[in-house]
Amino acid sequence: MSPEAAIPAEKNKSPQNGVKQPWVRKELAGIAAPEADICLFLEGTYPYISGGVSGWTHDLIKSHPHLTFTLISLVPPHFVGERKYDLPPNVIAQQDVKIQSLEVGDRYLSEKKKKAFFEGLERPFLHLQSKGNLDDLKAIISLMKETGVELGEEILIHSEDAWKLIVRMYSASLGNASFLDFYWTWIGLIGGLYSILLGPLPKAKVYHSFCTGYAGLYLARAAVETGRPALVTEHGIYTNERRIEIVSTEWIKERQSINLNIEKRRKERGLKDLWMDTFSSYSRITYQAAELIITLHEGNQPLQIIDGADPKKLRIIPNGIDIEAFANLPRDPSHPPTVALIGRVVPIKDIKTFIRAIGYLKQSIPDVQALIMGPNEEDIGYFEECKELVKSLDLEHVITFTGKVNVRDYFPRIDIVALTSISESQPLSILEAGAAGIPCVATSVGACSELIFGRKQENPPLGAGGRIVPLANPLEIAKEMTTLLLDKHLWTKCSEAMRKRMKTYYNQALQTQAYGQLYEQLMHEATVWQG
Amino acid sequence: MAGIGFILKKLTQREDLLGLVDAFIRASIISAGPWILTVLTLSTIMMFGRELLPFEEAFNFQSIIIYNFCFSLVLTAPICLTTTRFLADTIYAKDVSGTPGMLFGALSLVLFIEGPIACILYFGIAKLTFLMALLAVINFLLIAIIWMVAIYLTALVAYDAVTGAFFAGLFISLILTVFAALYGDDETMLASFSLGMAVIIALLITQILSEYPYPFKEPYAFLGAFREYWEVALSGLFFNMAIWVDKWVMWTSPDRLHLPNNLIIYPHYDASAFMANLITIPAMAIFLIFIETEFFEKYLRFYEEIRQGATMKKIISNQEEIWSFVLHATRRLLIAQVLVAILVIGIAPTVFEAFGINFMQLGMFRMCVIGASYQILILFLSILLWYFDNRRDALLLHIFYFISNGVLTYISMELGFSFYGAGFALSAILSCLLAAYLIEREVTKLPYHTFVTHNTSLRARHT
Repeated sequence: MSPEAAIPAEKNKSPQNGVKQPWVRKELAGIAAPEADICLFLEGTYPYISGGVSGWTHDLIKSHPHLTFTLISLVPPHFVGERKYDLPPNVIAQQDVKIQSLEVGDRYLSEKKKKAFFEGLERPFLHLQSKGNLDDLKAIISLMKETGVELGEEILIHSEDAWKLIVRMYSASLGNASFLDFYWTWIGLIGGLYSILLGPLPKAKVYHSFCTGYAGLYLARAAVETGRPALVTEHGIYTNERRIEIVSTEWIKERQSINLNIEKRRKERGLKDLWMDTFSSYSRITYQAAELIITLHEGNQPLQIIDGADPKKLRIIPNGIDIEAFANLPRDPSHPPTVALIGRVVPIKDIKTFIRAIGYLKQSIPDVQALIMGPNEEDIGYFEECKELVKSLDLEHVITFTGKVNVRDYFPRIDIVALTSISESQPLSILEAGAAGIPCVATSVGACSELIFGRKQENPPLGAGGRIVPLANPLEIAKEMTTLLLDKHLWTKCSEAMRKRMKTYYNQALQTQAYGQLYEQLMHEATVWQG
Repeated sequence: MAGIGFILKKLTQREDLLGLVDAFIRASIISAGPWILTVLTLSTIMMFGRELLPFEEAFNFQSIIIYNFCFSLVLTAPICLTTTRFLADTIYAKDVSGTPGMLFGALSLVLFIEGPIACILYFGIAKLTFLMALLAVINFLLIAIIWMVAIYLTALVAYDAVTGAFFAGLFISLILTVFAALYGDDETMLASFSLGMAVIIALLITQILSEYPYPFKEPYAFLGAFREYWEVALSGLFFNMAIWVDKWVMWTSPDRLHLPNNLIIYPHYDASAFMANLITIPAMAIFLIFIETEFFEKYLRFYEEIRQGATMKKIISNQEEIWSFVLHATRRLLIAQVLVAILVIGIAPTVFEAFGINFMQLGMFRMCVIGASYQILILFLSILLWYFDNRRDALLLHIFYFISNGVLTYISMELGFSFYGAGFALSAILSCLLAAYLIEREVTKLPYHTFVTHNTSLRARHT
């Protein structure tokens, strides 16, 4: 799930200011700052990207038609995009905020105030680079308020005092690194922070963001400035995703060669650490500001705790599906033993392991049929390699690449759904197969274990709905599939467990109800006036 | 969940932290060279003219030459500096295929703007014979073309070619003009002088076409540069007007000459100013050597090491080296120039007597020597400002110099004969102080300016 790749970053000659006129529902035009029930902070997703978290957002808004929503969409500085969704009628306003873009702002601030302002910023900024917390954010917000002027690029980025602050920050943290790299890193980080703190803040009863990062920071700011309750839902773990992104960036050339002296290494933090630690701070701040921290499955929670989330605030609301659409599919009584993998033909799904597993499976069950169901044009090279592998294993009459299909047409004659991915969140294929009563064999990634074995506190325990296998282990996968295909009694037990678990815990209605209850409860919380 | 990927990506594009302006700067420095050569030639020719021709013809010739030099320089400078700056950009971008096309585009612009002005001046305002007026217009345009081509070529780092062409052309001018003075009249003198100018142009253009054998394309691409480099264009205009404005003001003094040809000059003052300029030649040479050797190396090191990942400590130490060089060099130049000025002022009476120059000029000459000494420092300091790409301050300085020179010269003129030239001297001193302040403000905060105020990438983040 990485919709950020799809954001078009064309250059456009937009005016310097980062805030375009907000879109407001026609009927409400003219009403100054209508208060919404819920204000959503969306980072680079809805309504400009389709699928993934964006689709999820659309469904969430639609499933609460009696609540009104205001949307803040955080987009890259050069962003020009088209809406991929028609905003549902209960969205009363939507506004883009360009990360890193600032208004020009006032030019003048008395020397005394300027000095106090920038010297005051130093401590919380230094904290943000290591173990920042909500108090640092509060300090920054109140310092900005105290200036009493309209802050913008002129004072915050272009003034000499701002420059001196950067130099002090550099000396205090990474005095041996390339100043040029530090400078751009810092301008990026601080520009992002300022743009969030100076962006528009619509009135709402509850604030909700769908990740930490910049959206989370916005959420924290809203909580601090309005005293209204805040809520964060994480699909993936932001800091984790950023870590991958940052580690693989090439522009930061870590100039110190690999330093074998541990002591020295500890002292010489690099710029990538600076990015990482700052984003960890943003996560921590988000978690501290939020009343509840929601994620899809238990697997994410240890990571949230590492990033500073209070375990008492953690909740799980799994994604649900339309159970009815799958529960009553008839079984096809006369079909050969059939296993299927549902997913795009891309390396992260590790299709090759599945193909090898079928090779082993065929030895124990000669008449087995296998389907690979999903679009195969995303990574043509990988698709070719897979076909090559099928040929070399002599499985051409066993394995079929169906391309993108409607899985419901195939479910009646599928006996096992397999998943060999090396990374997943909460895979839809298992939810849907499970709802149709098809046992699953999956690698132990994301929510797979919870989906197949149930959560720790599942009561009453519904039993196993299939098998969990190690990553990239075709033999083990083949063994488990053989057992399931040959042992009819086991198969039926697993099928029932899956069907029941999906119906009980992964019903879309439940997800809607859970958010509805949370919103209802938080909306009626009294405003807590903070500092 | 778009993250900071877009930010990371963008940060790799930080190419233009240093927009290399070297070619442009070199051109600005060298542009002083032809000016000096020209002043030398002019002084010589005018001296011969005065000696050998009847009074009226000599002044006819002299006034036309002065007008042509001064107005063509003022009018061409903005076009010239802007195209050269644009040319420097294309050199930096390693695409010089537009070079010949651009030159002819710029020349046509020069002719388009200055042709009508020259015609109005000589056919309308001045009272000349048709032939003389025509020769005068041709001479005006030839000189304008020379400014353009010479500076254009120095931007392409062809110093030898430029200097060679000037020597050859001016030598021809000198010989022919002297012969014309001996055996002909003012018309033949002007025609002979123009012939030498035409030789310079022919040599320079041949040089450009042979070095850049590309087809003419987009001859007017440079026009867009006026929007980006309007400060450079205005700087060129104001600096050259500042150099001349004291003469223009003095042309209104009671001692001016209103010639029968309806042009106004003030030979005593004009000649004093020309001669005074000659004494800046040694300083010019010293400055060139400073720039070419020590300064450019330190300058490049400052920017290069930033690019290569220097720490702040290193950046500051490089900056301090530049600053101590600027202080040191300015001090040495100032001392050298002041010594020369004192010497010249001291021996002026003897020289005047020896050459039979009118003693009326002595006071003015001394003031002009002081003024010219500081003027050369202003030029140097503004070139340094351009080096650091501080176009705004350079423009500010040149506007100040223009206005102060105009106003103070007027006041000194009103104060009476004994104050003639004092306005120019005082204005040059004040402007020099301003220049020193501006360069101090620039260099002592060089890292700040480099990363923030002059950093186009910083502002381009959003566009």
